[in-house]
Amino acid sequence: MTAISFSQILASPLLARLLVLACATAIFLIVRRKDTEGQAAAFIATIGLLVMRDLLVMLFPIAELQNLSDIFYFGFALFIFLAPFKKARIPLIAVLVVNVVVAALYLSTIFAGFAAIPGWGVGALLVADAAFMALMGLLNSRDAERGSHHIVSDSWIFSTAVLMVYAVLALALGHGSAVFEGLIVPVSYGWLVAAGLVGMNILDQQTLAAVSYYEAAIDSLYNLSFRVGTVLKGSFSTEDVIASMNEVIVEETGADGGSIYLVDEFDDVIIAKALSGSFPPPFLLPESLPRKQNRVESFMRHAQFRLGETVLGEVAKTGKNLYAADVAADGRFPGNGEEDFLRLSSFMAVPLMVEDKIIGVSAVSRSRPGTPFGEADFDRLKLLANFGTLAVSNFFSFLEATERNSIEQTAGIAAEIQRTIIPKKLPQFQSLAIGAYSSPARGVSGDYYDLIRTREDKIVGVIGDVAGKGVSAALIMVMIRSILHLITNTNRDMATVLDWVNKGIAGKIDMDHYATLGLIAINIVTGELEYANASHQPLLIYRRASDMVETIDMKSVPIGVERSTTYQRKALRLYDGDIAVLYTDGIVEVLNEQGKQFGRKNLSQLIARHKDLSPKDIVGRIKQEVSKFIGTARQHDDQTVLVFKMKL
Amino acid sequence: MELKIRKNGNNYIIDVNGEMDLYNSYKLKELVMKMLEKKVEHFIINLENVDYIDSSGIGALIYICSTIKKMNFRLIITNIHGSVKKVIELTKLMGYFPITNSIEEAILQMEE
Amino acid sequence: MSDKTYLSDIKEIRVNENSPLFDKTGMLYKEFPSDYRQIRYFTLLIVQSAPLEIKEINLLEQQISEVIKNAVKHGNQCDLAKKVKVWYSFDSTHAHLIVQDEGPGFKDLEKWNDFNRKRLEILSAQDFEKLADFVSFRTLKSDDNDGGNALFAALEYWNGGFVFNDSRNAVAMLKKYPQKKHAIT
Repeated sequence: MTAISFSQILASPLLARLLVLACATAIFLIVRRKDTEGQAAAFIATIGLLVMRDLLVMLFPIAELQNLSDIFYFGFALFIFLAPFKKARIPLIAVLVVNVVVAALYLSTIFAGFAAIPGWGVGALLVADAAFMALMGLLNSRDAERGSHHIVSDSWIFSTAVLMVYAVLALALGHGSAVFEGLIVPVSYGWLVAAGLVGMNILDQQTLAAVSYYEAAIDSLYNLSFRVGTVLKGSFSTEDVIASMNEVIVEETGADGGSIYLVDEFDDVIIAKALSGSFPPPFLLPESLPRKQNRVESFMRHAQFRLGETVLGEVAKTGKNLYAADVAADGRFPGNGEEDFLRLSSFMAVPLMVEDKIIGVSAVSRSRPGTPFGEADFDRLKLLANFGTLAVSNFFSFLEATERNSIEQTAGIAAEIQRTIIPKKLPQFQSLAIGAYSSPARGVSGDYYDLIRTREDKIVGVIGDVAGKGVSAALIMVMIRSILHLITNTNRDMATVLDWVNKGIAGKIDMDHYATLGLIAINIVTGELEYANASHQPLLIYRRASDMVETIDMKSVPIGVERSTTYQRKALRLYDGDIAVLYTDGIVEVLNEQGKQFGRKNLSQLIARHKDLSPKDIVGRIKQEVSKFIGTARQHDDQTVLVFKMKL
Repeated sequence: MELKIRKNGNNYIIDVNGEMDLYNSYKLKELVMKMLEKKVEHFIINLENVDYIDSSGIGALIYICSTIKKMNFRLIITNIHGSVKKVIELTKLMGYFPITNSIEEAILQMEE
Repeated sequence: MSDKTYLSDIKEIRVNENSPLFDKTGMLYKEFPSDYRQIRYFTLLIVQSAPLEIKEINLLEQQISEVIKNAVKHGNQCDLAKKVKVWYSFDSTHAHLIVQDEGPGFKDLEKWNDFNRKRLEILSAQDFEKLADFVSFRTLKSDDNDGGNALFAALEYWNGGFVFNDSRNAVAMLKKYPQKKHAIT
């Protein structure tokens, strides 16, 4: 044992060795972070062994220790380079056993004095080990997978060479040699550094490859978003959107053609929504279909299958991907013929999913033989199908929400239209008082009422019920109102007015265009009354003289049914205290909780009961009574009442 | 319902506008009969602007189809959509009527 | 492909006075004179109570108009004095209707079922030649304006049942609307 001083350490070969080992350690620590196969760990263990060995040797510079440690050193190296290869396992174990045996014998030589192994014996063993490593490396490299890079497979050549040189020089020079200790050994550790660098290079390559893969994937996603987005901006049609998604998928997978199918909203069928390029049928065509290109293409463009029917229906039903790189070898595809447009060489189909629901299938095909779809193409298809579906379904959820919105919006528009045509103020006269109320059942009312001052002495009361709901009903209302306002101040009788309204509406419009109408024209000076009716509820007149309510009706047909309909009128007269009432179905046909109708009789009695009240108050009472009658039952129909009271 | 006629080569295209219901379907029948008298042999009935059809309308189409078949002339019905398509599907006549999805396809098929 | 009819799918018009479809509780009611000109108007009066969210409301309107037409024309012979009574109820999941006329009833119901059965057999064999004779059901009373195909569609459309009473002058039907599978239309 020699005392150690700092300068001695500096001068000793330990520093050089430790520096090299430190470099290698640093490199392998970096590699280890990303190394999934644990090879880095083995290298680091070897480095650790060497560090320990060198420290020990510095403290106890005994050649025997060095020799022994070399056996362990080479044992580790053998393990690193041969363990990854299954075929080399048995020879490896055999060699390691030999090494252990030699080491044991060597130990016994040192301590027990058996001269079993001479000093050069270890060296010979090391050379043999190195040779063995070289041989195995050669054999294994022939078996190695093409293209896969591992530290071991990429560095075995120079590592083995360096170790071989080490071993030979160890044998020739021995550990006693200063050149060996000071130069050869530290430099030889360089193979660890080199191996580490090889490892880092491999990691770099992998990172680059991944980056390049993701770049391509992102490019394709961008392409998809851009194309589909452009279509979405211009068109809300599903066909256009799905068609552009299909085109991008065909392009990005390098397919010859492709098609997208969507599951029907309600039935268990999938229907082709887009087709582009050459997409031969992956199933048997019906016998009756002529095998001509345009007929087949037309058939495929509109094809539909039940879930489970044909390979496409299978994908739609099970949600399992279909990847048939070589269609000819795949038993699921019946041939339809050898013509270009019927031949299929490679095929892929994936389900389109929204959350957990299968909403469709995207399929692509190649026709030219010898050009199968690769794994990368399959990955690309899955990526684009998923992303595309997500984007498109988000859009359609948005559309659905706006459609619901627009249903509410159209109700809003209809209500607006109505607001503008319902009379804001009821005209009142010395001799004639008027009351009115209108209450819609749900949203927009189909009821219409109006009061038109046609002459100094004449007022026309209108009541109507337009069939249908929403904007079209509101528009019919507007048309009727316009016509009425135009013609009531001609001196025509009310029957003629109805004729003209009817001719203005019937047979001209494509949408639903029916309405009932009741018209009364009252002369506020004389009390003369003219009544015409187009299938509306009959007029009720309370007569003060007899304290009775008369029902004035006529057989007629609603406005809009037939252009040729002619309408009738009745001429009557109102006297002081008489009350004329126009109303809609919603009043007399309203049901209470027991399902009984309010009825015209009830209404008549109600009017008679309140004969002394003003029209405004009579209307109020009617409203009250009907409300009481309904109770908790729902109001199904719009309710409107118009009351006229004569005060001559 | 309005009916318009236009020509494309030997093909006469009848554009139907409006609803084919129990009140007006007879008009299409009458028109086709008149055209047959005038020796028209190739008919394409375009239902692009028809949103409503009932059993009378289907009946008119059936009558027209069978008459034209009997005379060995050609008929194709195109552009059916929405509830019109639905009604033809419900009556299971999709295979009975010669139907194409567009006028272009109809003209192609006529030439075969 | 979707036109194929499997023999097990053959439907027929049934007669069952006690069917729950004839239960009128909670239904609204309207009655009409048997005026042929107003058939579409009457239909509109009924359909306007249906919620706006029902898809294909056009189709519902058409199917209802067929039943009312049958009642007006074949049941009541377009006699203005005779009434057509309609009970109806709608919501977003179903449409339920009962239509009754004052006529002698659908006497040829059994003949119709036989005719339809033959028709469906011919369809499942895809024999379009023979089909020509089975596209329209005609009786002595049929005229030029009768398509003879309304009931074929009705049996398919009213998927909750389509059933007559014992006198065959009232028919009850139910349409169940499936809930949408997904938003993409």
